[in-house]
Amino acid sequence: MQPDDKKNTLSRKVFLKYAGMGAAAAALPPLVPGLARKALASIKTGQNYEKAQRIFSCCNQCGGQTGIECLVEGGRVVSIRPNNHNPNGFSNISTDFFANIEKEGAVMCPKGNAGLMTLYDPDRLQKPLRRTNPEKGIGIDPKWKEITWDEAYTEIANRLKKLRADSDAHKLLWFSEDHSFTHVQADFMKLFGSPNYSNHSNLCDTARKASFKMVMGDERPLMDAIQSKYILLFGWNPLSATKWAFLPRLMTRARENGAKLVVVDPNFSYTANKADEWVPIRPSTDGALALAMAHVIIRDKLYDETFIKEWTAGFDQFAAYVQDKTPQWAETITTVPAKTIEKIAHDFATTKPSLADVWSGPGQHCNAVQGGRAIACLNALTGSYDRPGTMVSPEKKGNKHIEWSADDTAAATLRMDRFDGLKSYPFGHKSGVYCESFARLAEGKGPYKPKMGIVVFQNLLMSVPGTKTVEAALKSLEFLVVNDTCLSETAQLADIVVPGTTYLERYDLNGHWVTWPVLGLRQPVVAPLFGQPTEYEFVAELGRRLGLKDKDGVEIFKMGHVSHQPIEDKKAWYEEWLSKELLEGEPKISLDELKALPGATWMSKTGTTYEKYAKPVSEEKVKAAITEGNVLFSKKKDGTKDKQIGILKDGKAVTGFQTPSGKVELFNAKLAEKKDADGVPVDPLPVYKPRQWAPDGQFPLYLINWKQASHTHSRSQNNAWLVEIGPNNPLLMNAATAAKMGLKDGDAVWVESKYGKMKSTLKVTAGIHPEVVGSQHGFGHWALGKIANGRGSFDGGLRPTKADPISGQALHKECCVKVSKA
Amino acid sequence: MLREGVQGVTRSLEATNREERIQELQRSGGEIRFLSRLLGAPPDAALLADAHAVGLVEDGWEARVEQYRVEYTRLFSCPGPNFIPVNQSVYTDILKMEPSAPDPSGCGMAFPGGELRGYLGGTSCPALVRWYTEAAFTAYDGARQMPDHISLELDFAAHLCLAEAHALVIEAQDEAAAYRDLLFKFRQNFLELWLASFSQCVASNSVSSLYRRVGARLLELPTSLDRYNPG
Amino acid sequence: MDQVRTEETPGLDRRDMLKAATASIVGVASMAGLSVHANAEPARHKKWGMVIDLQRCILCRACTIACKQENKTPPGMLYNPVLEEETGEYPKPVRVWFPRPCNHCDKPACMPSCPNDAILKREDGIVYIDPDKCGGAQECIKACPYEVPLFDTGSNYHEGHGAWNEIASPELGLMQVPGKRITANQARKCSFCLHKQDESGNYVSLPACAKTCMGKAIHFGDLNDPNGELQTLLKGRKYMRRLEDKGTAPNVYYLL
Repeated sequence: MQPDDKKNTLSRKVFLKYAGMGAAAAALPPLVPGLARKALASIKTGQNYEKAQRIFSCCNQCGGQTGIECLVEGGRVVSIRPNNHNPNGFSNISTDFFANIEKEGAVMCPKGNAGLMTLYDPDRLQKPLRRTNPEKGIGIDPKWKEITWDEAYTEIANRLKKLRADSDAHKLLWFSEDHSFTHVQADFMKLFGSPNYSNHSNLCDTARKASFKMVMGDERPLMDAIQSKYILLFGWNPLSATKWAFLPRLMTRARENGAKLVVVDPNFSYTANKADEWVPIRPSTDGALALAMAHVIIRDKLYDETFIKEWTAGFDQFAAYVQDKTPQWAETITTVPAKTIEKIAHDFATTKPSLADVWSGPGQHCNAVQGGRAIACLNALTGSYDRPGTMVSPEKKGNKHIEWSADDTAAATLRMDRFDGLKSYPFGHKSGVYCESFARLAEGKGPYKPKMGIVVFQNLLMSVPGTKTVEAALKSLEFLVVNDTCLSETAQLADIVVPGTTYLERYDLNGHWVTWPVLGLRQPVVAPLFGQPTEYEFVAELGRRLGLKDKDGVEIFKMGHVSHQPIEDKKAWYEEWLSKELLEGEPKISLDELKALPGATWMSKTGTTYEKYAKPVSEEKVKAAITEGNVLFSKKKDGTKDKQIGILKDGKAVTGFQTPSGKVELFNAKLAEKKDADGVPVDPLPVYKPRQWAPDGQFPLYLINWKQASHTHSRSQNNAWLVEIGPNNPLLMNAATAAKMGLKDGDAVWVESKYGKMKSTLKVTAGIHPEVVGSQHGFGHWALGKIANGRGSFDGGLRPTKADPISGQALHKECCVKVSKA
Repeated sequence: MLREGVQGVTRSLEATNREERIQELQRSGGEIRFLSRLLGAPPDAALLADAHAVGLVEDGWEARVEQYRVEYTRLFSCPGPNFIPVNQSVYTDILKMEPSAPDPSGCGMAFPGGELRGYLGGTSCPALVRWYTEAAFTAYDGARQMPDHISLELDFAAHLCLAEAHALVIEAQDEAAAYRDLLFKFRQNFLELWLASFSQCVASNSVSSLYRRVGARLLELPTSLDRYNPG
Repeated sequence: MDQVRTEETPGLDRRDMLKAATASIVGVASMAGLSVHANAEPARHKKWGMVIDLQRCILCRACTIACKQENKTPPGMLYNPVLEEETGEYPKPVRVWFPRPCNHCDKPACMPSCPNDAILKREDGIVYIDPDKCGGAQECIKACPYEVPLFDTGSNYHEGHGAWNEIASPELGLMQVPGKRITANQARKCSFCLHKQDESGNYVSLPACAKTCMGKAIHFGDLNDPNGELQTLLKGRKYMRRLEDKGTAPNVYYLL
């Protein structure tokens, strides 16, 4: 160290250097005469905000996209309230919405209220980070170093450039959430040249999509609860696992109008508690229950004869199949008493209108697709499709995803097979097969070895079953980029982590949650707090640095798609991107026009329509169509077959259903021509097969998990309010089972499967099936933030990384365990 | 002759005091700006060289540049158990939450509304933006975005010191006094509401001498700035 | 700095608040004994109580949190939890739930159990624990059949999360800040938010739980008013009180 005097002189010199570094690089800050005195006087008068700004947008605390109205004052969001112009918070039926919204008003769940805490969370990532510790793994400190955005972009772009230059573009895997800015990410992958874009849907409900698609041709029918008189739910908890904020109101009103609610679920959920009847069931056997119900309905001729005759195919084969699927047969399989099965079947078929719906309860076991299909067939028997009070096919018109054509470089690698083997899944969903991706990465299998991964708005280590496999998979990549708002468990394994935005800081277009065409706008309520780019700007910047062009040489991520001029500012560029999707889609308005609409929500004037299958096809369309058998197809420009537009029925052309026969299919012989991912032909009938992983002497209990209103997956456990309401996820166990095992309420227990174990606190209840234990999913974080850390238990390590072989759905519920005192 | 002489002496005494004060303000302003740069981003070699020159880091710092950058990140940038919040809002402001819309249909969940501490984006932010605008202060290139970041508040304090120095140089006494007043009020109403808490954490959580000494220096800052208090 | 509070606490200082009430208790006690019955005298005092509609309670626990927000209670301390009880056996479980504030009983079991005479009943019916007198004996905690009083161990929430650490609590007019609180090592409980009363003993706004209740299930008011909301509700519906056989005469009624 230097002697004090010399040090002081040197310090002084250094400080004077900094004194000279004004913002304008002048020697001293420029002085405006009188400015300081004016400032003093002005400040004395206190803060006087301009009139608060009101901005309409859509919530994204979960995927529900409830409409919101935000107040912004002094650049801060001060209030978030429901948006009465967006039906997501009120009803999925247009007549109900238009008649009642004024007097009742839309709602928003408390997670939406907590939005301010998400936006202003002090644990948010503010700047890009680069790991300096080459060793990766759970619990290993990455030794992050903050880098600039330019450094982050440069490194990521250089690696992407190298992949493309080495003809290895297909070795980039991209995983993202499934509702936000998916188009721009998918397009990046396409123009980059990788077929491996995957998103969240196959972690959620691709089994249900496959089931309904097989039966009535629509992946996502929605229940018209408010007009129904008999609602039969399999493995769904809409009053608590409330994705759509309108659900509680619809179900409550239905019951006030005399509807019966019956809930089939191993867990006595909040919805089951409010139901007229709780039917506890052995997990994964719902398909058998449905088949037995069908047996009763057919035996007693309670089915809708007209509908069966006019609009279904394969009834005879189906009837023959269920002839021996008696309630007694089902009782052995499901533990539901035969008497109950008889009663429900009878009531379901004779109460009009009725509906049967199934979600992620049965939907996440390996027999989910055929099981859900059996349930979908129940609706067919009673004519419960596309009629008031039944399962309605929503009109999906909205914004349009513009299709770009890849250039030759990209086209070459786009031709490669997807890494996750999606094509082996006969009813796989375009979102891919996460489980297959991660299993292959971890085991070094698959058609090639991926090198790089980009993960946006996903926490794979907690949302994909089989934690160790996912960890090994992520470690196997040479370079991993994670874009997230917090340092999640997955981000801790990345090479570069970049901060994303919350929903209050960005754009999205949200449609498809109600039965008639509605599009809600999500728009920035405040600018990104840390000056970070939004996710689509992040993608666009990479696209620009890579110079990605389409087949016609257009720089897609730079060209304004309405003005056809290059746009420097990426936000403005994306605004044109959205305008283009709106103008080419059903709304035919620009983004600015959408912003100006009431509640920034576009709504089609024709509301919910029913019995669309009976709608006639116009003569001119029929004339221009290609006919195969009695099915009509529209023609592409080159004269080849395009979309199925209808069927010839009794000499008339009607729309029909989007199935191969144009009718609701209870049986389809051609299904056997498709083999599933295990090489087994898909059964033409909705057969019941028990799931693969059955309890045995060593692991005798079924372990399931579920969602409750307090949290969204694994995303919200760092929210101080939400953990007051949902602080923990105790393991529920049946009282008799606990007594037999000598376990008491509040005991610390080990829950163990052949793959791993977790510690839990036991909650003894009469409200769960005796063979089942279960808890709320999403807890047990080891990162994310100080409130989430160490709270509750996480069961992801107790299951393998496996998907159902028909639809690629991740098997979150298929698990057998033993429970012992800790 | 004598009176002129006396006046002359008084004037030159005043001039000397004024000269001294200008020197001191520039030195202080420069030091505070230097501290703001140290807290605004991971240090680069140039910044570390200066830090070495003023005795904040030991010899051989050239080999430790990466280490310092990692430590900056650990303390000020990376959410985690060692993170020291760098925004005033987290220390002093209240986040008001509204109660949820009444939903008597029985969704089983609701918020009563209330007040929380420890969040970003508080009322400090628009208030600071107002101060910065009124005092013609703009953030440097590459500065943090949020106006209540410690580096920006320190840079603003530096701006006010240097502006007063400039006003004194051009003999705009009233303006100089106004800047002095502004600095005093700024310290009272913003910076020093949380500087001690922040500095304490920095001084005690750091592993390296660099940030420990920065923390220690920040703890002394209010005292050393007190000599600029308005008369 | 604008740190506006959502509600103003009426200006009475703590000692005034409790002193005034105690003085009137002494008066009443000398006249009619410690307990005050409904419909006792024509120039009647108010008797604060609650009627909670179990059909409307949706188990949202907003009341629990509102109470916590209002009184800034330390970690784990809930004055008004919503208790869940499950009866029945599989496969027909019956789940009921009910908010459980202090019952402010006519014959509170806590009062006679206190060795320091720290528990007092006001003439308006509210039972409170005087923090000047409480010696932390915890006899009240053992005595109360509803398990209402709780022991304050002096713990705090972490710095930086929750308003409870640094904002003063208006409970009982104490205005105590968590770091320096008097009630450490004492018993505490629901006080029917008596700090929201003005000088004439009327509520400036409802107790936090009643004000917040999302299902509009919690009704707070004067049980002594024969035409008031509470008595009207009780006349129209079947109701119950908890643990009637304990003889405490609780003033929280549940509509079935």
